[in-house]
Amino acid sequence: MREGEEIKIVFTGPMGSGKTTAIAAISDAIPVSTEVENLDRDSVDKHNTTVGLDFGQVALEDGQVLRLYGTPGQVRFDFMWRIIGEGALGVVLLLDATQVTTLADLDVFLDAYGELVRRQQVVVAVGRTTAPGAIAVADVARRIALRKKVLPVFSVDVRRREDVLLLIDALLNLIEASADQEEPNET
Amino acid sequence: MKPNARFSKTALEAIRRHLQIFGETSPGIQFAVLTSADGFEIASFQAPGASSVAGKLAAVTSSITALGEAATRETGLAHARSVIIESENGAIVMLGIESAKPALSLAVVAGKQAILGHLLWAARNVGVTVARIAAA
Repeated sequence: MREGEEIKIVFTGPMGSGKTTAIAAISDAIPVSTEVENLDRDSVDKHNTTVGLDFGQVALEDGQVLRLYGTPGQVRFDFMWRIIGEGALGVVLLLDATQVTTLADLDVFLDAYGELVRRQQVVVAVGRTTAPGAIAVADVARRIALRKKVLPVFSVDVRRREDVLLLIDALLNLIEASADQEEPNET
Repeated sequence: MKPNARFSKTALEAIRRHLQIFGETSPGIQFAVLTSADGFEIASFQAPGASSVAGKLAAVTSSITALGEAATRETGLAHARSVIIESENGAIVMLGIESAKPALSLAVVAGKQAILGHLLWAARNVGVTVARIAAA
C-alpha cells in the first residue's frame, strides 16, 4: 500500500450489529446515511435501519485514505452486498453475540464475501459479548475454523472509536500480508 | 408487527384496488409495487403474463429511494421527489411517499409504449391517493 492510496473497506453483518455506529465512530466527517424507520421490530427491536449504504472516510497519518462502506444487514438487501463489495480490499464483519442466530449470521456473511475470506482479508468483530446469554468469542472462532480458515475475531464495543480503529489496524495488516503473498517480488 | 399490519384490511384492500385500476388503465404498465421505506412489499399490481418480481423490487426500490434521498440531502437539494431509470425496453419510476405514515415508496415498471412524462405524472397521482388512503 502506498501513500495517497485509497482503500475500500466494507462493514457488513446482520441488522443491529453496529455497522452504522462503527463507521460514525471513526469517520472524519459525518457519514452519508440511508437509514429509514425499521418496521420489522419483531426481528430486531431497533428504531432505524440502513436500506442503501453508509459511507464514511478516514485519512490516515501515512497519507492513505480509507473509504468505509456499510451494507444493509437484511438478506432481502443482498443485492447491495454485491454492489458495495465491488473493489473492496477488506471486510469488517460485525456480529451481535446476544442473538440466537449469531453463528448462522456469520455463515451467511462469510459466504457473501467468500473471495475476501479466501484471501484472509476479513476481520470478525463480536459485540455485546458480556451481556447475559451472549455467545463466546471462541465459539465464533471455532465456527470459522470449520472452513479451514483463521480470521481474527475481536470482542468490541463499536461505539468506542479505539475499538473500531483496532479492527481497521488488524484488517490493514491482513491486506498487506495478503498483497505480499500474492506479489512476493514486489518492493 | 409486520409492515402490512400497520394498515387496516380496508385500507390495504383499497390500495390494492387502486394499484390494479392504475395498472389496467395506464398504457404499458407491467408492475406497480408499493413498499415500506425499509423494503417490505405492502401491495402490488402485476400485468398478466409478467413474471413475479414484487418482493425483490420492493427491496431494490427502498434502497434506491433512500440513495436518492441521500444524494439530494448531501447536495443541499432538499427531498428527492423521484428516481427515473430508463432502459432499452422501458422505464422504472420510483418515488417516496413521505406524507404516508409510515413512509412508503412506489415503483412503477412500464414497457416502451409508456410515455415517460405520463408515467411520472400518473405515479405521483397514485402516491397522493395511497397517502390519502393510508391516512384515513
